[in-house]
Amino acid sequence: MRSGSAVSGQYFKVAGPEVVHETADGETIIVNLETGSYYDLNHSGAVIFNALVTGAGAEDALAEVCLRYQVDRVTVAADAEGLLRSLIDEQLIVPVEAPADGADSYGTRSQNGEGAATLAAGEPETPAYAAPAMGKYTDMQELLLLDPVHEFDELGWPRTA
Amino acid sequence: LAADGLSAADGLRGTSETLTTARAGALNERGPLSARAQRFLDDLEATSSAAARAVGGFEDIHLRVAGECVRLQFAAPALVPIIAPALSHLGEACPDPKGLTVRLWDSESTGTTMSRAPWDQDHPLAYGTVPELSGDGLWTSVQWRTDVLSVYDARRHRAFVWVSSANRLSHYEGIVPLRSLLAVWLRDRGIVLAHAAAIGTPAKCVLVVGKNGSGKSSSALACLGAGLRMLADDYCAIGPGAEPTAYSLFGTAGAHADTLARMPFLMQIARAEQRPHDRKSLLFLDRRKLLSHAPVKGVLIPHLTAGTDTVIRPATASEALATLAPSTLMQLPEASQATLSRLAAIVRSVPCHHLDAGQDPARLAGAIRSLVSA
Repeated sequence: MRSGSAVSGQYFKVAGPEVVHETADGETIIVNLETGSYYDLNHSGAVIFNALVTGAGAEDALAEVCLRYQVDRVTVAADAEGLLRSLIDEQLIVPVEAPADGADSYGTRSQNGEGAATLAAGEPETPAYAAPAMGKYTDMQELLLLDPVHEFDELGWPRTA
Repeated sequence: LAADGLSAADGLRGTSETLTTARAGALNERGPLSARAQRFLDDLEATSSAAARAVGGFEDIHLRVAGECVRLQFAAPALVPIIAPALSHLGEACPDPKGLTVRLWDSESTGTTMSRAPWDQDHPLAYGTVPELSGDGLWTSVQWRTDVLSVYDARRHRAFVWVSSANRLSHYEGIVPLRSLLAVWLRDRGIVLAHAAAIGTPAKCVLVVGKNGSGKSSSALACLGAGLRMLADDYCAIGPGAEPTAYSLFGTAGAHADTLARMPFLMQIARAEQRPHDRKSLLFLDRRKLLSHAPVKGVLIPHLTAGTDTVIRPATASEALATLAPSTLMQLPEASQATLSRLAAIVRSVPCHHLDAGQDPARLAGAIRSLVSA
C-alpha cells in the first residue's frame, strides 16, 4: 500500500454480522456465513486485520506491522496492498468515516479480546516477517443449499416437486 | 455420515437472504411475540393435541441430553421407530418441568390436518429458518426436501416437529434426529453442537475434527476395538466453561464397507443397516460402547495415510480451529460470532494434534488410546 493509495488513509469495519473471525496462535480465520467461503490470514496479515477491525486506520495497522517485525515501512506498504484489496473485494471489511470507539461496530471482537493490541502479549515470540497473506477456501459452499423451486399444497405447506 | 443421499446440511440451510436474518442471533432476544407468532404456536399446540387424541394419547420418551431433561411426546407412533433409536442411549427418567418438551406428529398416520402455513407464500421460502417466525425466542424451520417443520419456543421450553407423512422422513432423520432443533435449544444453554467425533473414557475424551471424508468416523470407530468408548461420530455437543465437557447426542455412526471389512469387531458391537442411496452403513452402537459425557482433553486432526503406522504430532490451535470451525458453522442454524469464539476457546484450552492415521486399525486405536491415557 503505497503512500497515496486509495485505502491508505481509511478506516474499516467488519462488513456485517455474517462475517465472523477469530485469532488463534497469531493466525486469523474469517468465515463468511452467507457465502460459505472462509479465509485464513498469516501472522502479519492477522496483525493488520485485527488492527483494522479494532479501530486502527490503515496507516496505523501498517505501522503496527513495522514495529512488530522490525520491517521498513516501504516494504510493508507494498506487501500489504494486495491483502487490503482482497479484504475489501471479498467484502470482509468495508470503509467507514471514522473508527468506532476502538472496536468494530458489529461488536465482533474476539471474546478473548485477542486483537491487535494483545497479540504481542499473547505470543511467545513474533515469527520472522512474511508478507501479509490471505488464503481463500470455498469447499464449504456445498453446504449452502439454496431454496429449490417447489410447489405448495392447498394449506400453503411446501411440497417438494 | 453425510456421504449419503442427503447432505449433512439438510434442513439447516436457507436462502442467503434469510441466513443473514437468521444468523443475527435474534433467538436470545426476548421481545413480545407477534400476534401471528402466538397464533402459530397456539395452532401447533392444538393440532398436536388433536393428533394425540386420534391415536389414544402421547407416547412419552424421556431423555437426558447434555445434562438437561428432554421429553419427546410422540403423537404419532409411526415416528417413534425413526426418531427414537439414535437417541435411546440417552434414555433416562428425567421429570424436570423446565426441561424441553418436544411434540412430534405427522398428519397421515393421525388423520389430522395441519393449520395453514402462516408465512408469505410469495417470498422465496427458506429451507431452513423461516424469518417471519423466528427471533424473540422463537425459531421456525422447514427442512429441505422432507418438508419437516421444526419450531422451538424458548419461552415455554416447548418444541414442535411435524411432517405430512412419516414416509417423507429421510433416513438422515434416523441418523441424527432433531439435529437442528437440538442445536438451537442447546445454544440457548451455552452449548455448541460441533462437527466432530469424540472418543475416550469417562475421565477424558478427544475430539476428532475434520470435514466429511477426512477420517473422523474411521478413526473413532477403530478405538471401539481398543477399549475406548464413543460420544459422537459426527456431531458432538460441547458445554461451556474453561474446561469443556463433550456430550453425546446420537448413538449412531456411519461406516464404509472397507471400514467394516478392516474392523470386523464392529459387527459385534453395533446393529448395521444399509440404507438406499447411502454409501455408508448406518451403525446403531451398543449402549455399552457409548459415553454420555466426558471432559475434553485434546483435539485430533485426522489425515488418512496409505501406510500401516499411525503417527500423532503437534498441531496448533489455529490449525484445529481452521479445521473445526467452517464445517461446524456452516451446518449450524443461528451460527454467529459467539459460536466461532466458543470454538476458538475450546481449541485454545486443550492440546491439539495431527493424526496421521494409518491403515492398521489396531495401531491407530493404540495411538489414540495412548494419548487419551496419558
